[in-house]
Amino acid sequence: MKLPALLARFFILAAAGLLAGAYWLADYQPVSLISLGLVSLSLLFLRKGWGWLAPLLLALYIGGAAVGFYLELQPAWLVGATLSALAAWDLEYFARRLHKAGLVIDQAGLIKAHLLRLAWVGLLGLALFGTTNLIQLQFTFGLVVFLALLAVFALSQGIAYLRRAGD
Amino acid sequence: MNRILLLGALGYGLLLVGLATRTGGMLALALLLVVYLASGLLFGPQPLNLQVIRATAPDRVSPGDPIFIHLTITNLGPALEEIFLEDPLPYGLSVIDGANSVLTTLPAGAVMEIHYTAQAGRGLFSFPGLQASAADHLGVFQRRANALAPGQVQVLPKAPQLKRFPIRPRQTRVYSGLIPARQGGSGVDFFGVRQYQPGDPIRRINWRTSARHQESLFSNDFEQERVADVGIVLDARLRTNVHLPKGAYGVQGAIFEYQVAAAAALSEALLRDGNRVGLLVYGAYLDWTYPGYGKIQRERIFRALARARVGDSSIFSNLEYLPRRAFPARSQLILLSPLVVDDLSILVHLRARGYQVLVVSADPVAYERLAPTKHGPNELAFRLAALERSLLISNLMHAGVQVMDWDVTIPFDQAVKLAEFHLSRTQAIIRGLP
Repeated sequence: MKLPALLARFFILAAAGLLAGAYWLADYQPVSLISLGLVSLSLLFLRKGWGWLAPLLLALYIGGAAVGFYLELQPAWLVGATLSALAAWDLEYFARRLHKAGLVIDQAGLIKAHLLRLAWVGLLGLALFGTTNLIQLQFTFGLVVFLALLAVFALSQGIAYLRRAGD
Repeated sequence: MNRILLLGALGYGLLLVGLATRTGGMLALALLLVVYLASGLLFGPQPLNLQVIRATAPDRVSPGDPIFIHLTITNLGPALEEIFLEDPLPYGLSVIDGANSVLTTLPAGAVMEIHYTAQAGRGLFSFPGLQASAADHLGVFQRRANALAPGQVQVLPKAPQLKRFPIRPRQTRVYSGLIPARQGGSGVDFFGVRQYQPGDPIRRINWRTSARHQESLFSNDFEQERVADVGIVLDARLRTNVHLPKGAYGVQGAIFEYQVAAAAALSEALLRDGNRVGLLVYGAYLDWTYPGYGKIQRERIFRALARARVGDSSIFSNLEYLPRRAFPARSQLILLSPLVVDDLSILVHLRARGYQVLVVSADPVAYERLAPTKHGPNELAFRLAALERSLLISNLMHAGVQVMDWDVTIPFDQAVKLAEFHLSRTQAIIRGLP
């Protein structure tokens, strides 16, 4: 088995474990059991190669983390679970891309570059998350609405650009 | 699902739910996804500018022979972090060695090569072009391009070598060839005796006959040998085709493949003898190769045979629409067909119109018998089918149509040798007919 596929499995276990841990610590044992149930589904999906299930699983993990934030669970566990889920989703896609190619030139170099990029993105995300948690700002309602609209607009523009310029 | 769309939707979801529930953690969580997306925006590839040169060697092969394909790709644009290159194969071609898709990085100005070996069954194959998909390392932002790399491979049918194929059309052309012309003149075979004419060589005088007549001399006349018009009709109707799994029972799949090989062998042998040969593929549509001579015509016919496919059509389901005007009057027609019962009347009609009709009929009953059925061979059904077929062949022969009943387990060249005796017997009978 190639390194990206192995790492994808590791991150699936990590995501589910962290999510289950966050709920377990806050006495939501049934939810943590459901989170652990997600592991078997995720591993089955990897084994069977059901690519269509990957977005659903990512959404489930992120959704689980979002609900955790709403329930005011331990943020470190939740952000760890989200990052792990994102990494697992990314690496699963990368493993499929490697598998699809009949020949991979400089495979070690490609894997290294991919993992490095993923690590940078993860670290930057983590740093931003940490910063936002540290900074406490008081906004007026109008400013919040304005910032929300600005965020939605910027995100829309970014996605639209990526989709237009890409495929 | 598109990765950008998924991340975007999740980001939106977190943002909106976070705002609605006033949960700062959710908004911060959305940042992780935004950073991931932003990496695609930052490191995404520029528009692709690739130059692709394709070399295929050889570009004319026989079925199953290896085809070596070599692609040279030059990146004329900026560096690409990750590029997936795929040379899609036309349907029917398969890779036997190497790989037709590559994942790599491609620096600016870099040149890379893709080599692979493919093989195919009979057909004409055109390569659609190289498909390139470049992305950043995380594969968030992708750009696709289709680089033109034209190429064509012809997999021509394998033709068994025939030394000679005996035909005897009712009418020949004016040029000398190898086919007896039913006319006296210079030739090899004895044709008759006629009165001596000034200019006849002395060695042609028939002294025995001349001795019986006072003051008259007689010369031997030989049968002229000329070239002929030959129309080969390849039956590509779905209803006459029998298909067995390829490779099983030592067969080539469809019985049609044997007929194509036979058509190739016949056209090669007849063209080599100097005849004018045309080909009509009668199936879902009519594919007509106009009659001609020589090597160029051989090439045209082989190309037509390479692209011949079994097809179904309500119009051409029987031979009724065989375009008779495509074939010169009283010429030789060779039909390659497993035959069905309703072909009888049309073939008899062709014969009545003055064509010399020869049917090379691959035996579908014997062919189907090669494959064991689920409940064992149904002897009665096979016997009935064989009887029906022998009756059909017998009726055709009575109508003056020559039939070569060919069991395809025997190679075509050997089958022709075996059939030669029977054909020459039939020809002797036909010679007496008007």
